[in-house]
Amino acid sequence: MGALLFLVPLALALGGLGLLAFLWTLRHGQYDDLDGAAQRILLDDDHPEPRS
Amino acid sequence: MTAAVAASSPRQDALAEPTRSVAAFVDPCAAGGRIHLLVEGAHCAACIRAVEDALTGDPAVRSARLNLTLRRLTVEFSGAPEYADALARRVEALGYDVAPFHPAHLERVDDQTGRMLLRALAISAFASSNVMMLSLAVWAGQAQDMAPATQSLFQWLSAMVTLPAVALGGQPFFRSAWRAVRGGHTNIDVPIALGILLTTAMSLVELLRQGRDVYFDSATALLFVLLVGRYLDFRVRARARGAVERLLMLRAYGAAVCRDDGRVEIVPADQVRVGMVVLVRAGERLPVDGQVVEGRSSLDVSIVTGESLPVDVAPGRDVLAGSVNGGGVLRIRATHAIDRSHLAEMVRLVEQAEAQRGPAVALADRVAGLWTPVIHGIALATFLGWWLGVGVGPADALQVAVSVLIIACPCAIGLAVPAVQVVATGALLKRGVLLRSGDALERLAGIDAVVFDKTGTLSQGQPHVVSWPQDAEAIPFAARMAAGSRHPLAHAISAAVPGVVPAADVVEWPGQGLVLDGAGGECRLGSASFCGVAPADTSSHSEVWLTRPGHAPARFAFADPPRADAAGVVGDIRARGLGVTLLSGDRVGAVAAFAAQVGLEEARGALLPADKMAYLNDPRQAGRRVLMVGDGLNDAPALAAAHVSASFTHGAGASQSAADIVLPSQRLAALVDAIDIARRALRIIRENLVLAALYNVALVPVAVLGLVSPLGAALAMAASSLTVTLNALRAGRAPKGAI
Repeated sequence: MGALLFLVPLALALGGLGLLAFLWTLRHGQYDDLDGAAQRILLDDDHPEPRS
Repeated sequence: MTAAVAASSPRQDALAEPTRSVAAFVDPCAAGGRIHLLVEGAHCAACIRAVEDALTGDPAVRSARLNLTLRRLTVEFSGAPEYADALARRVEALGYDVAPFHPAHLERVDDQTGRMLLRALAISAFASSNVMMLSLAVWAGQAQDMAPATQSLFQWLSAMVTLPAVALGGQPFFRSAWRAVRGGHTNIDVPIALGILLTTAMSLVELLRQGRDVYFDSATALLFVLLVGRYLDFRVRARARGAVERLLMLRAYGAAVCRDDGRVEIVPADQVRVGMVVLVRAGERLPVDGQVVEGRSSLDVSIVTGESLPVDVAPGRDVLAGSVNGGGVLRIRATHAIDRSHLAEMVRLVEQAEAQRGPAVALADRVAGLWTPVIHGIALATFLGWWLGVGVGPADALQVAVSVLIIACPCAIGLAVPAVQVVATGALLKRGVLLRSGDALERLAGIDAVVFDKTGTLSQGQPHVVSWPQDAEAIPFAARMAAGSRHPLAHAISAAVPGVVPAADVVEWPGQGLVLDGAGGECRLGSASFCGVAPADTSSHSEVWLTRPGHAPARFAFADPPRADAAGVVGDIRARGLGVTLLSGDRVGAVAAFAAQVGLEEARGALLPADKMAYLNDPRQAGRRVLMVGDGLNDAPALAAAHVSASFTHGAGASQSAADIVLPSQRLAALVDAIDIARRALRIIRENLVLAALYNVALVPVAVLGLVSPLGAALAMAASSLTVTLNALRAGRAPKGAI
């Protein structure tokens, strides 16, 4: 049972880290354009190879 | 002024439109400027690429990014602010309508509310999942052999997670409830806030007393489920509001100010000062309050004053910002500046659209309004009954009462409607259909007849002249008169004479024609009856007559073929058991021939706008719920009179502001999709309300008897919310049998 003393707080801390990461992405506007993000994945070859 | 430089408003080339400038909206930054542009019509990866590539190829452009959700293009460039015009024109050349975002729109309340809710949702999701994990261990441990010290540790950890989570995540409810209580009334947030706070406080007391009944899990689960509902509801409204705002922004983003040297310059509406003269053309909104100095017209003031009949104005008349100019070109001198600006009007319009909440949402609110005092009463009675009646301790009695509060909380009812609306409006948006008011979906589902306008609705709306008058002089004269009008027939005439300069003082009589008080007398361009001549023959072409003093009447004949999908759409609508009628201002012969082409039996021609309205208000139509589809200036009254109405993205400003639904210009078939999705959505909303109500009614007595723990109550509530949400997802699927 002694393991719980540090494992449970560790689990909570990891979860909290995830939460902080989410809040960070939220603050940086990563959810402002969900439609655009879904479409942008279809865009490729930003720098097309020169024709040889 | 009109935003669209693109072909959708062809009038402005004809009017020798001054170059519209977006330079006034450029936000200066370190080395150049930044501008936010609304790009209407962008909806896919190819659009992103086309728009961004068109700009980033330019060495002056440092960055260009298109936000597809907001249709907002942000461009940073070096150089003078005027360079923004060249950039805007480049995007317009790709075929998109472009308008600048007003700086006041950038920091919208919506964005902040959305982020606040999302943050609260994330916090409560974290808290509820972790607390649930801890408390499941405790519940299991109580049955088995978990050491009391471990149980206590877990409960303390739960408390450490729950207390900040409730404090942060519960704010949307606490604030709303506090506002209501302070205002002396109650709303649905009061029992919610009370339930969350009581559960948390009771658990804290139990924890300090080292008791067994610690329900932090219930508090956080309750918070999480409720926030999901709240966020979905917010999304629907934000989406509807964004759609309305975009439409309005495209229609008018500035004012055309006439300078002393004769130039016309576009400035943001809030930079119009008292005394400036502003040019307003037919179909446009007045950007500021003012006094007419030149021109005659009729104004649609319904949005400003609620008066539904158009008001005729002449020089000297005071006019209000937000009115829609129906007829001729007006020049007005601003008498007020910013206090009643375009922005204020836009806010008013959006609020107006939002105030019309759907019957189903209103139902949920009513249920909540009736339900709330009942919940409080039952919970209080339960508490007193258990404490004083049965004789258990106050803590146990409180626990039962809290279970009742949680069980009775109608949050599944709160989810039932918005969840379906989110899914259905999203599905419609993908098909290019915008809903302007929240209740449009429900009204659309209830229609039993569809009435179409002809020109631009069932027809392609681009008539061309098939027979010119013999009199060669008549053509440029008619073109000059027609250049001031948005009517498609007028445009067909004026387009035939390149570089035509519009005549001043032309007044448009919607649905009838144009009048010009010339030097020699009154000239008229319009229908045969308007011009006082006998219709030429029984040919199936539309016609317009020009009468001038001292000249023989001249006749223009037009052909306007039906849309490719018109006949199919008419058939589909009829297959859904709806009556279809065609109402047109065109000649009876032309209308009959057109109706036969698209397979319509009921068609009426030669109708004035008032006649169309009278048809909809006819007692014989009483009890029928009619969907009116039209796009022109003269359709606005009929659109407003109909049970529910639809216009097109290319429609005149007046008809768009009157319509509930805005359809994509190119695809009439979207109307059939909209009807199918709306019918399905309404059915699912009803199912959801019944499901949610059944759950409450069935479980409240069980909770009163003390058979449900707060944890059980929270779990049961989560289950009912989940059922309702999953059911709502069905609203987005393509309806069976859809074409």
